[in-house]
Parts: sequence; C-alpha cells; structure tokens
Amino acid sequence: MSSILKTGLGKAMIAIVVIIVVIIAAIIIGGNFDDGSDVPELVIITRHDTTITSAFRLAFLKSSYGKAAGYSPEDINKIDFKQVTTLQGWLTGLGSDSLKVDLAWGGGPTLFNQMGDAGLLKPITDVELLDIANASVPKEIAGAEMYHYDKQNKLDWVANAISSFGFTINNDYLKEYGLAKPNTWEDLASPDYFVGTDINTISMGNPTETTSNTRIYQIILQKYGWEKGWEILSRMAANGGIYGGSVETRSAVIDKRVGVAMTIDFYGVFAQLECSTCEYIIPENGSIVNGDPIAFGIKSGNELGAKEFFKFVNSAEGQAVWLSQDRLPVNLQSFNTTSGKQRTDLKQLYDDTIANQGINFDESLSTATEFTMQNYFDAAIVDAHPELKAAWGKAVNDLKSETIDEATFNSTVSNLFKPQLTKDEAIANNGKLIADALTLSSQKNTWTSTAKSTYTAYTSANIYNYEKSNENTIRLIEHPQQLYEVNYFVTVCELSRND
Amino acid sequence: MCMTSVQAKKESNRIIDYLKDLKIDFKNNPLKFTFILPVVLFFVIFLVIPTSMVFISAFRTETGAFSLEFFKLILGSEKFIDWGGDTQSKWLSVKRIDKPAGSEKWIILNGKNYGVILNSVIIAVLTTIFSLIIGISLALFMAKRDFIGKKVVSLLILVPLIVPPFVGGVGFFTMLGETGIINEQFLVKIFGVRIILKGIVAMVFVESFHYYTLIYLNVYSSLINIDPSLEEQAKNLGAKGFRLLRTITLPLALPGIAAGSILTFILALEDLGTPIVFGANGDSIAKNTMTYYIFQNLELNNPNSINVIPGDSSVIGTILLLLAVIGFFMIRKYVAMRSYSMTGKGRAGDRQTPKASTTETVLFYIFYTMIFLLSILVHIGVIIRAFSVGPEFPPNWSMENFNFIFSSANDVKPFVINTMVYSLLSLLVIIVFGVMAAYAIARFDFKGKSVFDALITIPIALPGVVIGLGYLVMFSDSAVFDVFGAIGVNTNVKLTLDPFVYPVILLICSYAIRKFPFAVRSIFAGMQQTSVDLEEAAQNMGANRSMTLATITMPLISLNIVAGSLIAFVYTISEVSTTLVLISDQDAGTITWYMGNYAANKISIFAALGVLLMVMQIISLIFSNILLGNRSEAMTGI
Repeated sequence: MSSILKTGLGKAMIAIVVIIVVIIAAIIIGGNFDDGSDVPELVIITRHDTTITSAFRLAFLKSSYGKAAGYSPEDINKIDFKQVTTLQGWLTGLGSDSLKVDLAWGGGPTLFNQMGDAGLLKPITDVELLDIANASVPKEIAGAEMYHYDKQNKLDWVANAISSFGFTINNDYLKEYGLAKPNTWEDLASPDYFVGTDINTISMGNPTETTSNTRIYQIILQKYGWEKGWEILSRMAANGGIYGGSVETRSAVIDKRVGVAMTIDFYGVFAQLECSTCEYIIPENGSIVNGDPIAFGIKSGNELGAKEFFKFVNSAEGQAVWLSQDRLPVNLQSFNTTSGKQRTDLKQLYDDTIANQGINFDESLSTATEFTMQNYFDAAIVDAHPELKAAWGKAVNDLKSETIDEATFNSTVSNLFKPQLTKDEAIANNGKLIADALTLSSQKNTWTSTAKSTYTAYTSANIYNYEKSNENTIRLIEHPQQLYEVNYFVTVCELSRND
Repeated sequence: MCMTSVQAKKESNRIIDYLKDLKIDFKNNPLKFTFILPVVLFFVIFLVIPTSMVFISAFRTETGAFSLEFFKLILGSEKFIDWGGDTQSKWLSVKRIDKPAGSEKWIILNGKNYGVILNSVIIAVLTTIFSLIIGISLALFMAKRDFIGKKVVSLLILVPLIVPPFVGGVGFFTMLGETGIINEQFLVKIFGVRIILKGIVAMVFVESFHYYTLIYLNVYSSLINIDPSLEEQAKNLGAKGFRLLRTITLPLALPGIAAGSILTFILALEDLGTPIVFGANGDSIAKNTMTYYIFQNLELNNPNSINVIPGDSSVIGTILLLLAVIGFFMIRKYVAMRSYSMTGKGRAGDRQTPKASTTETVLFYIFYTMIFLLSILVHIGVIIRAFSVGPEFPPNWSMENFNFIFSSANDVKPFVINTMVYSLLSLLVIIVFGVMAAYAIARFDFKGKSVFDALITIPIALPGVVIGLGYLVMFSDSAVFDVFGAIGVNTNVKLTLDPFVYPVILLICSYAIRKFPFAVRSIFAGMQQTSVDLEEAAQNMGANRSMTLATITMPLISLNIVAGSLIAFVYTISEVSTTLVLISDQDAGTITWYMGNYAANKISIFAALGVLLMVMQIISLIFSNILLGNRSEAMTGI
C-alpha cells in the first residue's frame, strides 16, 4: 500500500476512493438498513402511485392505529409498499413465501377478483374487522357493490375509495373548433365531432394499456349493447385518436391537443387543477362507480400490522387522506374531518357521483369479455386507425355535403363498424386467447386485416350517391358503371363478417 | 452427414491439444486467467445466456414445443412488414383548416406506416442519413478551420447528448407540438400556418438532433488523425476544394464515418424512449415500431405459459438483436479494441489549422446556429415545463415542481438516491471488470482474443429491451437469500436475482453490462498509451505482475479509469429500457422508473425530474471533458 502511495496516486485515484465513499454513504442515506427495532415489517402490494402510498404511510405511522401495531412515526421503512404494475408481478408477489404480503390495496375490482380466483386473498372473517367495515363502508354506492364475496361466500375484499368514469373536456378547445359541450357518450360519437382526418378531437386510451379506459369501454358496451356499443366506440375513435395509457390520454386534453379525453374521475380532477379551462364530466346515465379494494394477503405474516392498517384506512381520519390526494373516499364521514371540510369541490363531485344514475353493470360479463374486448379494440380500432378515420371521414363528408341522407349515413356506418364477433363469441374465446399467444396473434392479425380492408374498400369505392334498399343490397343511383366497386365493398364486408 | 471416425478422432485430438495448451498456459501465467475468466463468466451469465433465452422463446409454444409459427405469423403479416405502406397517410400534406375564429394552413409532415419492422428500420436509416449530413458538415469545419469561439462551439455541440430522448419528448411537445409554443405563439399568430410533425418524420427529427453528435465525434477524431502530409501532397498535385474533400479527406475519414453511422443506426433502431413518447401521444406510427411493440406487449396474460414473454415479442426481440448484431459486425473492424491504438498514437504531425475567412465564419455560424437552436429547442421546452405550472404561455414561472421533488412529504428523493447508488455500484463492477478486460487485451496474448474482444464490446449493439426481457425469462423465481437477516441485520436487501422480489442486483448487472464498452474503451486507451517499458522495468526490479499492476499501471491509467467511469455514469443515470422492464417494486425505483411510471401523472414534475437528470449529466460531462481533453472520441466508445 505504501508503495502505491509512493508512486503518487494522483487526484484521479482519490476520485475513485471518493466514488466508493459516496456509494457507501448513499446506501446508508438510502435507508435500506433499519434502525434495528423489533416490530415486524408490514408488506403491502399496491397499484397506487407513490404520492398516495407516501401520504398514507406517514399518516398511519402518526395515528393511534400505527401505535397500536407497535410502530413509531420514524418507522418509515417498516411499511413496505410493493408497487407492482404487472399481473405477473401480483401473482408472484401475493403467492411468494419469502415476501409474505400482508395486504393488497388498490388496482381495481378486476385485478382483485383475479387474485381472489387464484386463491391469493385471505377471507375477512374477524368479527372486529367486519364490524368496522360495516360501519364505514356502505353496502353499495350508486348501485355498485362495495363488498365482494368469494365462492364460499366469504368476504374477500372491501372497497376503500370510489371513482366514477367519464371524460374531461377542454372548454377552450371546444370553443376554438365550435364544438358543443358533450354530456353523453353518444355526443362524442356524433359526426359533429369529426373535424378532419388529421385532427383528433377526442383522446382515447388503448385498453391493452389502461384499466380505467377498459372500464369505460365496458360501460359503453353494456349500456348500448354489444353491436351499438362497438359502433359508438368506433365512431368516437374515428373522431379522435388513440393515446396509449391513461396518463397520456389525459395529458392531451390539458395541452389542448384534443377537446375531450376519457378519464377516471381523479384524473379529471388532476386535469382541472393543472388546466383552468378543463372540466370533468360524468356522462348522463352513462357511468358506474368503482370501488377500489383492500384485501388481506394469503401469506400474511404480520397479522396485527395488517389489521391496524385496515382499521386506519377505513377510519374517517384515514379516509380523509384520500381527499388530500384528490380522490373520493368511500366513507362519507371523512368530509366531516377538519381537512375534509375544506374540500368542498370533492364533496360536490362525491354528491354528483352518487346522484348520477349509474348503468346496471354486470361485473361477471365484464370479466368474461375483457381480454377479447381489449385485443379486438387494439386490432380493429388501434391498428386500423388511419383507415378507420378515412372511412368515417368519407361518410361524414358525404352526409355534410348531403350526398347521402341521414338514414343512409346511419345504416352505412352501422354496417361499417359492425363488430367481427358476437358477444357470445367474445365470451367463448376469452379463455383461449389468454392461454394461447399464437392464437391471439393470428386472431388479431385477422381482425386487423379484415377491418382495414372493410374500411379501405368503403373509402376507395368511388360512390357519389347510393342508398340502401330494403333487401340489404346497395343500389347505385347515378353511377351504374361503378357497380363493380360497390359489389366488391359488399363482398369484402360480408367475407369479414363470416371470417 | 455423420462425422467419420477419423474426423472425430482428429477433432477430439484437437480439443485435447487445446486443453493441454491451456493447462500449460495457465501454469505459466495464472494471472492471465484470473483476469479473463471472471469477465467471461460475468458476460456469459448476464449477457449471453439471457439474450439466448429470448432467442429460444421465439421458437417455442406456450407448452414448450418447438415452433416456427410465430416467425411465420410475423414475417407474413402486414402489421409487421408492409412494403407499400398504408394508403391513408402521406409524407407531406398541406390543408386549410376552417375554424370559427378563422382558417389556418396546416403543413403536415408524417410518413406512412410500413409495419412494425420496416418502420423501425426506415427510422434508423433516415436518422443515420440526416445525422451524417449534420455531423460531417460540423466535423469538417471544426477540424479544418480555426475561428473565433471554436472552443465554445466544441462544447455546445455535445449539448444534445445531455437530454435523453425520453425526457426530450415533453420538450418536443411543449415547443414543437401541434399546439406547442412555436406553432401557437409564432407561426399561427404571424403567418397563419401550423407545422405538424408526426410519425416517421417526427421521430427522425428528434433522433437526428440527438445522434448527430455521435457522428460528429467520430468523424472529427478521424479527421484530426489524418496525416496532414497526405492532404498537402494532394494539394501540391492540384487537388483542392470539393475534389480534395471527395478523393482524399473523406476516404481517409471513412473509418470514423462508418463507425459513427452504424452506431447511430443501431442506437436509433433500439431507441425506446422516442416511440414511447410519440406513441403515447396518439401517434399510430410510433406505436408500430419494434421497441414499442415489445414494450407494450411485455405482460404475459397466461400465467401457465412456459415462456415469460409472449412469443411474438420474442420474435421481434430476436429480429432486433439480429439487425443490431449485423450492424455491429459491420463496424467491428473499427470498434475492436486493438484498432483503438491508432487514435492513441498521438496526433499525426504538427499542423496549423488555417484561419477561417469572415465569409466562411459567418456561413458556419448561420448553419450552426440553426442546428443548435433546433437541437436545444427540446431542452428549452423541458426547462420551461419544469420551472412553471400548467401549460399556459407566457409561463407561470415557479419553483413549485422542485419544491415538490425535494419536499419531505413526497417520496421522490429515494428514487434519486437509488439512481445514484445503482449507477455507482454498477460503476464499481465496470471498473473492476473493465480494468481486467482492458489489461488482458492490452498485455496478454491468448487464444480466442478476438472472441473475447467481441464479447465485451457487443453490448453497444444490444437493445436494452432484449436484455431486460432475457433477465425476466432467466431469473424469475430464482432463489432468495436473506444474507443480512442471517447475520441479524434487518434490511430489505436480499441476495436474489428474481426481479420480482429484489431487482437491484440484476439492475446493477444490466447497467454494468450495457455501459461496459463505454468505460472499458477509455481504460484500454490508457493502457495503450502507457509504455510497457515502465511495467517491465518494475518487473526487472523484482515486482511481480500483480504488484506491477497495482503500483505502476493503475496509477498511470487512473485518469482514464475516472474519465471512462464518468462517461458510463452519464449513460447509466438516464437508462430507461432495462429499468422499466425490470423494476416492479416502488422501493427499487430509479428516477427514470419514477418518470416512466408515475411522475408522468404530473407533466411539470416529470420535466423537473428531467432537468435534474440533465444537471447530473452536465456535471459528469464537464468532468469527463476536462479529464479527457482532446480524447473526447472515447465518449462514444469508438
């Protein structure tokens, strides 16, 4: 060592030493090491974002519930949130013997139902906990169940926060393009919302990338029925564009790149806070309330900690933390706390949410079609989007120029956007598509190419004027020489239905 | 095609002889193996096997049966390869848009959708062409003329390197987006025109103004290494101007041009950040690129499958890998370690760079200002967003976003600390293995040296997504050891490679592997420039090889080690692809993970974190520039 020093290490070697010292210091500052207290860790798997988990962690540790579980406000590292975003991660995490997940919290009913089906949730049978849940969580809100029971009819999750689904509008944008303020999903499917093939008036998420937008599309499919629902979704997508995940979908409306964005309520509230001309709208009789669950993990190793955290998040004090995160709590009492009284905006949203006539939403149907729906949307709408937009643009322009009348327009569009599979087929195929990636890929290919050829055939069929006869055939009025092209279009449409 | 017994015997004799040689070699020089074997083992475990796993899952079904169906499906589908491009999109369209407030002229630059595979290739090729045009023009002037402000320009040229494309997206939409500041505040107000960049054009634009620096650095270093007497002779024989450039200068600079352009091609091909940003903003062509496709389809919905990644993603990963590897082998001649000595021999002769005339200087500054402005628009956009609240213009200046990042109530700091810890730990791995590898190549002769050389330089060409996917396949469900718990220390640190349980060790290894070539090149350059005589002198005085390494070589090359490490650090702190693929645990999150997953909820916070990343990168770059001086070409690893 001394010989190394004698040769003169130079400033660069000192720099290396400094780097190593910084590493060690960083690890220590990083707080990976505990202070040695004996209270066991509380492990919570969640899809809530880090600002939410941080706020709840601090509030819990300061509360009497945290104290009852043996924690002090300094025990930040004892509350270990596993922020897992993938389904694979949830299955691995909740099933892991080494992780010993105590609670699952946040991620939506569908995810929790999947975890329940996989036997990864511990039923809530403790009388004290059942009483607390009954006292703070209503049985249902706006028609939506806030409790979920497993196949043995035991309670496996309870809702902890609620949200509605709707859209956020940018009033400036609507004014600039002269668009009327929308109130229903049908308003968004109107030809009025088509401004041009290069302009997206609406931002929609790709359901393969966003669970909240998946929910919105399921609502539309259940409210209007399978066929009409797909027509509305296709028309909306043709008026707008597909913007990936829910965050990007919302960013587009804040930045005034679109006039309307599909959003879950709290993203709407975030948007209102970031952009003064934005406004969240719950579509008239066209939304549902979602209860965001909390449940116990089957491998839980810290029963006391898990119980106290459950009690805390259901208390008025814990529920008020949701308000600080611009989210709607499930327990109305939270609005009576000191901080709750200040959030009149959220109280208003809560009242609107409850007052809105929710649709009769069938949760089982939603789960049974979900994977097929997401992938059909991805294949027939997202991957064929330019063609979809061009076909819709042609129909709308023909209508606006009075080349076709409204009845012809409606029947043409219904035909154009008719789904390639029935609801029953979607249910029947759901499991197979999940289990077999090859079938999924080839099915999606077929859906995309069929959709593209249907749209393209319509767009390129140079029909100036036609009407649909009672025999469901297309009859040319002014240009009989183009019969061939129309027949081609009909053939392609028919083939695509039978595929 | 059975091997005859004679052939088999010959073959086995050959292997036995080889092993015998190896044994003698090992006895004579154990240090050589101590240096080579750990590096090889590290690369085999964390690079060769994981990427091969992706390759394998492209050829099997959910149950594990061999199948070429995924390949057939992808290569035969228009979604992936569409030679004609879609019929609806256009490269350029000009439209009049009527709004109630008045009409606007929209100039839309887009591009067609040629399918997932072709789109990526087209974007990479066009990016390379545009980067070449900009990079070569700048390098020629910088290398051949002296002018006022040259030193400042040489630093400013590197500016695009400091904003990861991932962060740049926010800046792009703030400044150049459809409703960005340039359109809303200037073009529409003054000219009634809105210029909209979309699809292939937008991505080529963003990537070209990022990657031209790579071409510049490579071409510049080639140009200043050209022996001036060659150009002088050509001039004496009557060649001048364009002819001199075409027949002498550019051919001599070809190694730099080739290396820079293929590196740009590979990096543009494997870029995930840009497609994510554009795809997420409703751009259907950006979604149809290879990296975005893999990223979007990462989550396998079938928990019973033998494959962790869906077959079609594996096929795309394999294609990406093959394209990158082909590119890599095309430039291997130039990037191989041994050829580095060419640039390490010192500058070729003394030369006087002629002073630029006033006209030349003015023309250069006009050209460069345009390039510079276009390349920093994105930075300006990020900075505006970071220091203001909301999208309004003029911005509502505020420090609110930074207060948020550094406030105790919001858990952003752990991500910054994690980023530093992982980057520094991976640096430690890089330094240890880097010194061993560089020393082995510089000082030992051994069989398979060129394979070894290729092994440690190939990560330049390997897409992060592919490496990340490989890790998921290989290390999911590995054993978990609570080493610290066993000795009575409570910590969340676990000794495991299972990314779902504790992804940190894998992350550090992936960072080390991916950024290894950047640092090892600088270390190797140091070895090349250090005379072996000094080491031999020490050995003659009785020092053994390890002692010589510790007391003579290491101190002499320490500057290169630090400089190389800083370069690797610049790239590591902004690493996106393996980070997003591997981390599923909030506790393990880094800055880029936080930005990718949650900070995107609040665009201004995203931008503020981007500025933080940029500051960290600038500091590292300034340090490495000071330490490296003229040898800044080492930054690109070429």
